[in-house]
This record gives sequence, structure tokens and C-alpha cells, in this order.
Amino acid sequence: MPTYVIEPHWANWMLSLEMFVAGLAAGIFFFIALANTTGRKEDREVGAILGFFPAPLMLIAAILLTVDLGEPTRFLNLIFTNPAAAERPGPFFLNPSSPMNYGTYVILVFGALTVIPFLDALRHTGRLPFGHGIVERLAHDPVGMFICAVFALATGSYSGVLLNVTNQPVWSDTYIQGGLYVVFSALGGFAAAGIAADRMRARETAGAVRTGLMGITLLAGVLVAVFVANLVALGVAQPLIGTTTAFVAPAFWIGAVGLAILYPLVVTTTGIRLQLARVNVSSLAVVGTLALLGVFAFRWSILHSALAAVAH
Amino acid sequence: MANSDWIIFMGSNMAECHPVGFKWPMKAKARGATLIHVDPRFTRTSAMCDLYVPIRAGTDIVFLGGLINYIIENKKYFLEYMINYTNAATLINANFKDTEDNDGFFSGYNAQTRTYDNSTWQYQRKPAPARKPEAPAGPPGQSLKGANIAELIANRIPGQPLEDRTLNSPNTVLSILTRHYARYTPEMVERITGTPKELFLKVAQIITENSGRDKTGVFTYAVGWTQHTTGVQLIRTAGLIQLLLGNIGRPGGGIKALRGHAQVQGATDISTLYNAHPGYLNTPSARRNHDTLRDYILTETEPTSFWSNRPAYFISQMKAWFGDAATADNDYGYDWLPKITGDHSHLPNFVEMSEGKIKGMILTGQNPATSINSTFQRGAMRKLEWLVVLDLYETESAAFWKKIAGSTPEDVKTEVFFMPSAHIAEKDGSMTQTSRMIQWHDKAADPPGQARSDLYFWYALGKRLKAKYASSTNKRDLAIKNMTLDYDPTPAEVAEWKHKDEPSAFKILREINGYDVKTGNVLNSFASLTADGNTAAGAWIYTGVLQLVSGQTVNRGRMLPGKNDGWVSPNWGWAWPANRKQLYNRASADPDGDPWSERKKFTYWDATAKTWKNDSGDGIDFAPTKAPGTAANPTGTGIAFHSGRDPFLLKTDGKGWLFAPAGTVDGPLPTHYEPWESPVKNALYKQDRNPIAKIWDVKGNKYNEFGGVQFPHVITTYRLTEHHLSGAMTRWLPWLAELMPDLFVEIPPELAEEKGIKNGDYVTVTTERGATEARALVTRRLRPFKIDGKTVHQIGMPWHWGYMGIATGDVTNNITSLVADPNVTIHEAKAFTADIRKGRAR
Amino acid sequence: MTANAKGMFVDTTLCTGCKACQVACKQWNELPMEDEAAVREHRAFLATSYDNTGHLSSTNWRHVKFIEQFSEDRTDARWLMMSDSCKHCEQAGCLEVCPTGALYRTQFGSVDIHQDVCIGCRYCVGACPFGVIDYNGRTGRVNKCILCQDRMETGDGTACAKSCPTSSLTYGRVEDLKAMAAARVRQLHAQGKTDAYVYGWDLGNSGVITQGPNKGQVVKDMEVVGGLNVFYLLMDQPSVYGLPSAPQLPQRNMTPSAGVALISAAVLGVTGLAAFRRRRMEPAMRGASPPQAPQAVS
Ligand SMILES: Nc1nc2c(c(=O)[nH]1)N[C@H]1C(S)=C(S)[C@@H](COP(=O)(O)OP(=O)(O)OC[C@H]3O[C@@H](n4cnc5c(=O)[nH]c(N)nc54)[C@H](O)[C@@H]3O)O[C@H]1N2
Ligand SMILES: Nc1nc2c(c(=O)[nH]1)N[C@H]1C(S)=C(S)[C@@H](COP(=O)(O)OP(=O)(O)OC[C@H]3O[C@@H](n4cnc5c(=O)[nH]c(N)nc54)[C@H](O)[C@@H]3O)O[C@H]1N2
Ligand code: SF4
Ligand code: SF4
Ligand code: SF4
Ligand code: SF4
Ligand code: SF4
Ligand SMILES: [Mo]
Repeated sequence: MPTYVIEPHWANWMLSLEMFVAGLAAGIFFFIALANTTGRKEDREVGAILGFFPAPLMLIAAILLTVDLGEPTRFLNLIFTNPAAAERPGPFFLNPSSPMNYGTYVILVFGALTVIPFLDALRHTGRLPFGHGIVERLAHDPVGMFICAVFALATGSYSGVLLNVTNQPVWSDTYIQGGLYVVFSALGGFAAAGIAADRMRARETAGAVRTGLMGITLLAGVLVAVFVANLVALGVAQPLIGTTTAFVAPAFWIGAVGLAILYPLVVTTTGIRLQLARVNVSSLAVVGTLALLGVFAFRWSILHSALAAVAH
Repeated sequence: MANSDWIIFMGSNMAECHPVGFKWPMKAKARGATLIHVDPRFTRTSAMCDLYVPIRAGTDIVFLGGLINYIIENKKYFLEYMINYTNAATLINANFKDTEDNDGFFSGYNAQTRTYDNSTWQYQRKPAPARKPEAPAGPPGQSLKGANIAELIANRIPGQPLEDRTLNSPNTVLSILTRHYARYTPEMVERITGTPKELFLKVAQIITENSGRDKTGVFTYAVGWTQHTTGVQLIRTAGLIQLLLGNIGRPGGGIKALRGHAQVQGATDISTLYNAHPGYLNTPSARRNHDTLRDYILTETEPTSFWSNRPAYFISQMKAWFGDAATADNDYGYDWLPKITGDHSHLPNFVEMSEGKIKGMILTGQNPATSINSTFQRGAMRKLEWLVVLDLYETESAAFWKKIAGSTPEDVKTEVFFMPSAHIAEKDGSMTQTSRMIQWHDKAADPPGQARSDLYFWYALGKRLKAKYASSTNKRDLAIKNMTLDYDPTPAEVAEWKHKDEPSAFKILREINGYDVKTGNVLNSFASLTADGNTAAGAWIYTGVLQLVSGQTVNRGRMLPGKNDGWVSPNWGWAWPANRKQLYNRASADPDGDPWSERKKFTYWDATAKTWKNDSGDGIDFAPTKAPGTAANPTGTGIAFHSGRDPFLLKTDGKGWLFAPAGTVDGPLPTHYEPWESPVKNALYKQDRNPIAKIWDVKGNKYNEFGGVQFPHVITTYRLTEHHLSGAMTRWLPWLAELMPDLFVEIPPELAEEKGIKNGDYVTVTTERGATEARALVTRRLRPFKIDGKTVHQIGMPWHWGYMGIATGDVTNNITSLVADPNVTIHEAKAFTADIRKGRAR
Repeated sequence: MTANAKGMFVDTTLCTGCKACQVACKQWNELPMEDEAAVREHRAFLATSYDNTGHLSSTNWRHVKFIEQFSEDRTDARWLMMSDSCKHCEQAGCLEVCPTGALYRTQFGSVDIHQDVCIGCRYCVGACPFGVIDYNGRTGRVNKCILCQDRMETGDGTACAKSCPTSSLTYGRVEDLKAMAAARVRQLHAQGKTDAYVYGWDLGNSGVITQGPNKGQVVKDMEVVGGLNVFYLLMDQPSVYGLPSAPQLPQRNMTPSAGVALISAAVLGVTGLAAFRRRRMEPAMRGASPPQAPQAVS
């Protein structure tokens, strides 16, 4: 039995939430970038309204992180070389072998970029007192939005790469979590967009979301299959397939696989319409909400899988 | 120990209880020595040994007796050593009867008084030298007036012991020994001790093959041997083996008694024993012929051993205690001394306390509320009118009246005073360790708050008492009135410290060491002590720890870690007597004074210089210029009575005693008795238990039925590295408390299964005295024993817990009983019976 | 390797499990009890041999392990003990991932922590292959054995090694310690104890386990993560002592993980673009009529 597994406080729920909101912000931004550059008018409208979300979500992530780690001024050590760490040259800190260091810069840039859709959302709803022109141009410039999308996807994949680059059971047993995380991030973004489109009755956009969801869940399914198969092959899949680990396996299979992948996949590919009581449970609003739950379950179960590995 | 070729740890868990000293056995192991642990449990010591040998608690005499039988039967003894240096060839009184022929009793047993008369255990002797007429004793209080002490002693020299060096006579010690242990065969060993025969034989082989001229080995014991109703005899059994194998007085040989409390050696030397004055001088007793100083000296002085010097030591002690008030005209104050009237040791004291005979107690550095039959002891304390506790913490004993201790506070009338004490690092002083080595330590810090040193308490108390009795003429007050008490510190001693009235520990050491009464100079050796009142010394054995070197007093207790000091390191501390680290080291040379072998060369005779030499720097434990060829002088006093081939100075015949005509009250030879409580009968003879064990048939101290079924398991109690004794010095310390947080009981899985106990469960261990609750530690380190065909489970508990401190737990000693060895009144906490069940006690 | 690197050789065959090292570490480094409430409330007893601290942590920088190996009839009986701490790896996972420079390589070749710099991100906690470094909830930073950096600076060597009565722990120059370890393994092999081998460096020894459940298995000196400046002489497989048999740097996953992420991102991009081209319309929305009322889902 490995005795070298981290303690519970590392993988607490706060961290799952942090990763979830940041990933969601990234996913939504990814959708906005697509909508704003290649979408139709309706898509752009949905995109503009979704623009309200990434910045506050990143703010929430920042707040959670601060609560989690305490002493926000210490975060500066991630960027500026602290004089006490005199071993490192230069005013800006970069440890080339630390994904977290890259991640810091990526998230910093991404966090800054989320201001653009936020302003655009204000503009769109007529609440921006000045600078309409420039904001609109920024939010719809293909090159700019491409760069934004790159940062969004990098942010989405970041925590996956982070977990991969450790020495923890499950986390570092495979190296496809970077991929998984970015896909789940996009999945979250599209799920959110689905809810928005449904609420806004934007049927064209809804159509795009459905197609997107279909592709993304397909991709997610493939990656999850590879992930699990890989773990099984290594003989370390116990925390994800075992029953001894209380919540981890159910969260993973029901949440991540069932709600986030299979349900949207089935609904979008077959186009079936399901009525439960008086609720259309195949509506994008329901599918999206359930998928978001599933995305959270995914983050939560992966985070806790390392612990679960020692529990049995 | 680093020089030993084999080491048997038996009755000791050295790695756990003497972890620092354990580096020496580890050195021996690295050099190729074989390490063996004989213990009921597989411990951290066993883990480090080459061989672990399981044994049922309380049966060591059978195991060791078996070794003696093996040695004699296979003629594996070191003949030349044995015949010259031990009393193997000495003839014993023909009327002596052995336990083997007498149903488990030696001759001389008196069933009424439960005592032995040892007259049939004596040597056969030549006629004594002619007696000279003696002057009558002086008037009361002046009994020695005009007497020549040396002449009085010389007049008591007995005849020389008779020997048969062919060893053929049935009355030689060796013949008696041979018959006595003949039944201790490997089969019998297995039957009684539960030790597999093959393992036993392996041990026998290892020690016999690795002893002799070129090799030596050592037995290492502590309280796993002492805490038995046969404790003293048990240790003697090992002594017998070592004498037979020639392993005494030689490097890497001997029997290492690992002492307990850091200062327990010092506490016996400068003694806290009721029956000994400092320096192992018996306390005057109302039950012996000690009426006057003359009586005392003539009763106590052995004319034919080194102890013939006792008068000088005793009178110098009186001088140290009473100073100028002690004169030849008042027998040096002998009559002021109180005399003992019986056994006043801890257990009987508490029995008396429980009967309301003791009104008050000053408790210094002890925690009886958690000790042997602790329920009984706490009950006894409730009978006190007052109790003063000097301790570092509010111990279980200081809090014995509280609810948490099981008392009803309203009903406890005892007035308790708690005096916070300074810790060892907060005071100067000396400590004497296991190797008789005195080491001085300097105070490192002031004690916190109101805490003061114990010395201060006793000194201040003494001064107050002296003031109270200053004008008394009552004879019983004279001891206090005349006692010297002048240890006020020099200003330099207290310059750095908060309290300026702390007595000077150095001045006390000076008094103990001794000084010339006229010049006041410290004495360098006990050889200068006289019986005429011209010298004073609190404890003769310590004389020389201070040395006068070119007019300066040097404290040899201070470590002078000399470079190139050799393995004996004579400058590292100072070992009494006279800095001799290896006692009886004359025995490290053959009868002619040559080393037994080059490898084991130690003390030897230099024929050209006509003196004994020791190249390693150790002191010579023999008359330094007495040639090996010197003949015994039948009229010589003291060691002059011995020949140049008799290494054992303290014995009346200069020999190692395989057979003890005197000194042990329960027999001249060790013989097996079952522990007072045992699930099995004595397989050797009808007498199951030590017939003269000390027992107390009082309320609250009921013994479990012998051989009964109600308490079927053998239990032992012991220590852990992580805690110290009652835990008062460790359970209060966060770092140690977390290492061993709870009391547990170690049980083998076989028993656990039988009782439905799972690892970590709460369990309750019971005896007639009470119950103790603990957590179960189920481990294969313990094992069931097959005793006489029947399975006997051995369980064990550490005993460090109590209801105060950070790490609290039940008191193991709730279940032990007051029962003790007859020689030294040590309790039997190492082997008794108990039952165990799943679940909590309360 | 830093020339003159300092470290410790842990000869587990000499360990009596006295825990003096554990206490000395706490004393020198002024570390508190791990969980006083647990001790007071009788939750601290672990019933795992003589070990009640269980693991290395931010307050236990050293931890003594107890491994009981007894066959049912006790003919095969062994109680292994091992004093464990940070290994001061030549390639230190913790140091490699630290995003602030709080973890650094000292002039003695050891791995120390600047407490002022650490932000408590705990990344190092997951990165250490040995589970050594731990988050300290009291300070919001991480802690582990720092090889007594302050003592090394004054030339005193480590507190734990100083307190070890049997020299199971020896402090010194790693090069000297390696020579000592090699000699010790040879000595043990000569005594028939062929189980002995070195974990941390490959000094060229190999042997066969003589006791316990792994009896008969071959063991070899092993260099792990580029060498350990605090290294061990073991008598059984690493896993028996709770040590990984093939510890690795976390960075082994960095490039592949980033690669998979990149490919996935590319696929996502394409999927996204495609989605906005060829839409799958909502069945309910396909008709011209606006949807009927109840979609009251939120
Ligand atoms: N860490 C620590 N060290 C200490 C102390 C402490 O409390 N803690 N106490 C000090 C004191 S005061 C003392 S007296 C010494 C005592 O030192 P030890 O005598 O070594 O200590 P114990 O643990 O009481 O008992 C030793 C061993 O005797 C075994 N034993 C029990 N019964 C028998 C028996 O019948 N035969 C044999 N062969 N073995 C038996 C027990 O299983 C145990 O392993 O330690 C001193 N050192
Ligand atoms: N069941 C069982 N019972 C046993 C034993 C056993 O093996 N089994 N062993 C027995 C043995 S060998 C022993 S030695 C006894 C020990 O039994 P105790 O002597 O009663 O126990 P300790 O815990 O040593 O108590 C010493 C006290 O002295 C205090 N102290 C320490 N230093 C100082 C100081 O400088 N001044 C003062 N005033 N106080 C100080 C400590 O805080 C502590 O309270 O227990 C015996 N009891
Ligand atoms: S407690 Fe003191 S006397 Fe006992 S082993 Fe430790 S250092 Fe030696
Ligand atoms: S053992 Fe772990 S904490 Fe220590 S240096 Fe290696 S990686 Fe870092
Ligand atoms: S917790 Fe501190 S030491 Fe560890 S990686 Fe983060 S900043 Fe570095
Ligand atoms: S080297 Fe220092 S910090 Fe590390 S375990 Fe030893 S005492 Fe503790
Ligand atoms: S101090 Fe030495 S012998 Fe004691 S536990 Fe630590 S390493 Fe082992
Ligand atoms: Mo003791």
C-alpha cells in the first residue's frame, strides 16, 4: 500500500469548486469566441449575454483561491521573484519545470481578457457609458478572439496538466487529464450556452450548441474511455471502478460519465424528446444544467480519486 | 560490553529501556558477537538480536539451571578458573540437605516463622586460631573506650575453609551443584519454561563455545529478573554460570545489572534504603546485636574480607554526620542513631499506612498512586493526616484525593502540600550510573516560578528542625541537634542564579568524599580512612571522587574526556571504588598472574616490577603488590587471610561463591519456584512457591488462586522507550505523549481470536485486586506457550499511565499485588495471573 | 551532484526504533504535537505495532516505521524499523514544481524551504514521490525535513543523527556515506545477511532476501530519482517499508499531458467551428410556432 499519498485537506471541495468555476469561465469564453467570430446574429447575441459570466467566475475563483491559501499578497511570489529566493535570477519568476508557473501567467492573461466579453455584454445591454466602438471591435475581431480562445483552452486544460504532473495515484498514472480537462471545460461552456440559448429561445444558437455538445461529448467519451482503460491496464483503476470508495466512483460514473457525457450525447444525437411530469427533460436547459453538474462531479471525483486510492 | 563475544539479554529489554547504552552491544555485534534475547515477548531488543528465545515469565531459574546442568554434564566449565577462583572445591557441612532431597526445602527451614536457619549451609573449616583474652566493653555510650578494634577483629578470625581439589567428595560445592541441577535437563526446561528444547540447546552451545581463555560473554539483566519472589536467587543463577565459565572479572564478561532511574545506583550508594547507611553499611537494628558501637562493629565486621575495614568506614561516617560532636568519648554519637525494628521498605510501609500507623509522608520524586497494587496504595494514602509532595508536576499521587483518582474528595481528610521541584537541569549535583560511575552535572537554568531544588527543601527543613531542638537535652533529639548542616553556598556558586540560598551540592559531595579532620583537606582514597575519629567521610566508596592534586581540589566526577583515553576511559567520570571499572579484575589473569590470553589481556602481574598492572588504565581491584604466589595467612585479618590467587576481595574466603553459606535468606543455591501466582504447578517438587516469599494477607490485596482457572493467563508488566515509569516525566511532555498516547495490552492473535478481541479494541484485564482497561495490541510478537502439554497464554502490559497529564490512561498497577522477594522486598510485577475480556472496565 | 553534498545514511539494521531522532527533530525545530486533542481524547492510538504518529507530516519531519513480519508459527520472525524523512533528492519532485522558488537547493545539496516565499499552494505536496512534504494548516505553508539547514551552517550536522544512539543515522558528506554504505552492505553479506542493499544509490550490490514474505526475491542496490542525499540500507523490498519501488519525477507527464491537451483543444476548435456551420436544430423548435409555455426549468 502506498503511504505516500497526500492528506485530505489538499483535495478539499473548495479546490473542486475553484477548478470548476475557472474551467467554466474558460469554456464559456471559448463559446463566446466562436459565436462572436463565426456565428450568426443570434449567436452573437447569446454570446454577448454569456459575456457577463467569465469575469465574475474568475473573480469567484480568485476569491476561493484566496480563502483557500490565505494572504493574497503572497501570490505575488508566483510572478515576482521574492528577494528571499535569491537563488533565482531576474525580477519575474519562472520555474520552467512547473506547470503551475505557466498556468499562473496563462490564467493571469485569461483573467484580464475576460474583461472584454464583460464590457461587450454591458455594451450589448446598453449599460456601457463609453467606448462602444472599441469594445465591439475587440470582442469580434477574429484574430483577437482566436488568441482569447487559445488562452481560454489553455486555462481549461491547465488544472488537468497540473494534476498529471504530480506523483499521486490516478492523477499521474495517465497523462491525458490535460485533454480531459480542456474537453470538460468546453463541455461546461457549451452546456452553459445551451441553457442561455434555451432561455433566450435562440433556436439557431441552440442548434449550434446541440451539434457542439454532440462533438464534445463524443470526444470526452473517447478520452474517458482511454483514461479508464489506461488505469485498468495499470491495475490502478480501483478508486474509479471500485465500490469501496464511497462517493468517488458514483460521482464519476453517474456524474461525469452519465450526466455530462452520455445524456447530452444521447439527447443530441437521437433528438428524442422526453417529457417528465410537465418538464421537457431533453430541453437544452435541463441537459445543460445536468451536464454542468456532471462537469463538477468530474472535477470532484478526479480530485478525490487520489485519496480514494489509499482508502481501500 | 563491546568486548563481549556473546551477550544474553534476559530479564532486560535493553534496547527499549537503556537505549543509549545499547550502542555498546551493537558495537559488539558489529565485531561478531552473538546477541541473544530471552524474554516472554519479542521486543525491540529481540529485533536487534541474532537469536530470540521465548520463555514463560517467572521460570528463568529453570532455564539458567538447565545451562548449569549442561555445563557440568558436558564438562564445559573453565576448570582452572573454577577450581582456583570459586568455592567449587570447598567442603560444605555434611548435614546440609538440598531441595532435591527435601521436597523443595533446604535444610534449616522453620515452618512457624517461615525462615531459614543457615547453620547447616556452612563451610567445613580447620580449627580457628587460638583466641586471646579481651578487655571488657566500656560503659554505656563509651563501649569502645580503650579497645583496640584491630585486635578485637583479629580475635574473631575463623579457621580456613576445607577443600577437596579432586572434587570427588560428595560434600564439595561442585558435587552439591551437580546433584541439585541434575534434573534441569533440556526436556525439563522445555516442559516448564515453554522454550523449545532446540533453542535452549543452541543457547547452551553458543555460550559454552564462546567462553574460556580466549572468549568471554555477558548476561544483561534488569527488572525482568529482579521483580520476582525469587529475584535475588534468579540473578545468582546467572552468577553461577559466569563463575563456571570463568566470565567474572574479565573484559567482556560479567553480569550487567542495568539500573533503573538515572540516579538509582547513586540512591543505593548514598542510600535511600531503610536498611543501609551510605556505602552499604548496615543500618543499626534493634533485632540484631547492635546495642552499642562495639556490638555493632563486632557483629557487622567480617574479619576475613575487605569488609574488615568496616570500623574505619563507619566511624568516619559518624564523624561526617556529627562533626566535632562525635568523639571517642561518646562512641562517635552511635547511640543517637535510630535503629530499625523490621522491614521498613516501601510495601510494608504502605501496609502500615493503610492501618493508620503512619500519620504523614513526605513524597520526593515518587509516584506511589500508580505503583504496585495502586488501589491499595491510594487507599493507604487516604489514611494520612498530611502529605507533602515534591514533584515537577501534579502527579497522580499529588492528586490522589481527587474524584479523577476514584476518591471522594469530601471524605479525604489528608492535608496535601504540593512543593514544585526543580528539574535535574535546574540544579547542580552528581549522578551515579549503571557502571558505578559518578558524573557531575552543572545547573543549566533557574527553575521556573516558585520551584526549588529538593536539596533546598531538605536543607531548610533540617535547619528549622535544628533550631527547634537547639536547646533540647533529650537523648532522642541529639542526632538532629548534633548533625552537621553547613552547606551554605559560596557567593561564586550562586552568582548567576535567581536563588542565593540554594545549598551547595559540591559541599555535600565533599562531605561524602571525606576529608582529614585536622587539615580539612579532601582524602584521595578510602585507604586513608581510620577508625580513630581523625577522618570523616559520608560514604567510603565515594572517597576519591574529589582529589587533592597539588593543593587543588579536583572534582573527578566532571568528565575529562581524555583523547587517547583507551576503551576503559579512566578520565571519563569516576567509578567507585577507586575508579575501578572492572570489579574483581585480578580474575582476568590466571593463577600465576599471566593473562588468560592475549585477546583478553587486562590486569596482570609484572614479575620484574613486582606489581599488578593494567595497560588499559583501569584501577587494580586487588592488593596492588600482593604477588600471585603469596600464601594465605591463617591468622591474617582482612584480605591477608586470602592468598595471592583469591580475586574476590569482598568474600570471606576471597572466592566467587557458587554456593552461598550466607547472604541470601532463602537458600544457598537458586532453585525453581513458580511465581506466587501461576496457572501451573511446580513440576520439580511439591513446594510450588518460594516458602519464605514476603506476603501481605491484608484487605485489598487478595491473591489469585494458585493454579486456578479463573485467572488463566500469565501476565507481565514492563516499560516502553517512549515513557518513563509512572509517566510523570513523559506523559506531560507533548512530544512523548503523542508517541505512545494510550495504555495497551499486548496479546497473541490466538488468544484474541479465542476472546473475540480485535486489534485496537478496548479490553479489560482483571485480577482479584481489580481491573485495568486498555487497548488491545494484537501481535505475533507474543505467542502461546505449551507448558507441560497445556497451552498457556502470555500477555503483557506497559505500566506508564495514570489519570493526570496529557496522555492519560488507566493504571496498570490496579491489578498487581503486594508480594515480594524475601531478601530485598522487591515486588513481583513481572509474573502473575490475570483474565482478559473484550470491552471497557468502567 | 553538488560537490561536497551533505546528507545522511540510514542503516535500518541498526535502528532500535527508539524514536530519539523523531523527538530530537521536534525539539531542535520547535515543532508542536501533531494533534493534542486526539491524544487527550484517546483517538491517537493507532494499534499499528509501536507506531502512533503514522506518517510524515508538517509537524513530524521524521517518522519511525515499524514493520512486523511474523509467520504464523513464528519460526520466521522479524521486526523491521526504519527512520524516515525527506530524502533530499538529487532530482526533487517538490522543487521541480514549486512555482515560487520557495523550495530551493542549498549550498549543501539539500532541499530547503523559504517559509517567507511559500504561498501554500501545496503543489509540492502532490509532487513528491515519497509523500514527504506536507501542508501546515497552522502557518498556511508547507513543511518537511530541511536537513537542519541552520545546524549545517554552523557545522553541527543534523539533530536527528546526533541523537541516534546506535548510529542508524549518520550525517556526513554523501560521498563518504556512500563508501560507508557500500562497506556495510558487504559486511552484512559476509555475515550471511544477503538481504542488505542500498536504496538511493547504485553501489553495485545485489543479494537475496532471507526472511519474511518476500524470502528468495532478489534485491539490488537502486539509484532513484538521480540519487538520494538521504539514503537507506534496506533488508526487504522498498514497498515493505512504504517506499515506492520506482519513484519518478512528476515532470515525466508534462510534455505528453500538454500534448494531449493541445490535440484535444485543436479538436475542440474544429468541433466548435463545425457546430456553428451544421446545426442540429432542437426538435421542439423545428416547427415555426413558438414553443408552448412550460419550460420552467432553471
Ligand atoms: N524508556 C524507559 N527506560 C527506562 C525506564 C522507563 O520507564 N522507560 N525505567 C528505568 C527503570 S526504573 C528500570 S528499573 C529499568 C528496567 O529495565 P528493564 O528491566 O529492561 O525493563 P522492563 O520493561 O520492566 O522489563 C524488561 C523485560 O523483562 C521481560 N520479562 C518479564 N518477565 C520476565 C521473566 O520472567 N523472565 C525474563 N527473562 N524476562 C521477563 C519483559 O517482557 C520486558 O521485556 O529501565 C530503566 N529505563
Ligand atoms: N507493574 C509494575 N510496577 C512497577 C514496575 C514494573 O516493572 N511493573 N517497576 C518498578 C520500578 S523498577 C520502579 S523504579 C518504580 C518507579 O516508581 P516511581 O518512582 O513511583 O515512579 P516515577 O514515575 O519514577 O516517579 C518519580 C517522580 O519523581 C519526579 N521527579 C523527577 N525528577 C525530580 C526531582 O528532581 N525532584 C523531585 N522532587 N521529583 C522529581 C517525577 O516527576 C515523578 O513524579 O516503579 C515500580 N513499579
Ligand atoms: S533516559 Fe537518560 S539514562 Fe536513560 S537512556 Fe536516555 S540518556 Fe540514558
Ligand atoms: S523526498 Fe520529496 S520532499 Fe524531499 S526532496 Fe525529494 S521530492 Fe522533495
Ligand atoms: S506550497 Fe510552497 S513550497 Fe510547495 S510548491 Fe507551493 S509555494 Fe512551493
Ligand atoms: S535533519 Fe533535521 S530537520 Fe531533518 S529530520 Fe533530522 S532533525 Fe529533523
Ligand atoms: S534514533 Fe536511531 S535507533 Fe532510534 S529510532 Fe531513530 S534511527 Fe532508529
Ligand atoms: Mo526501577
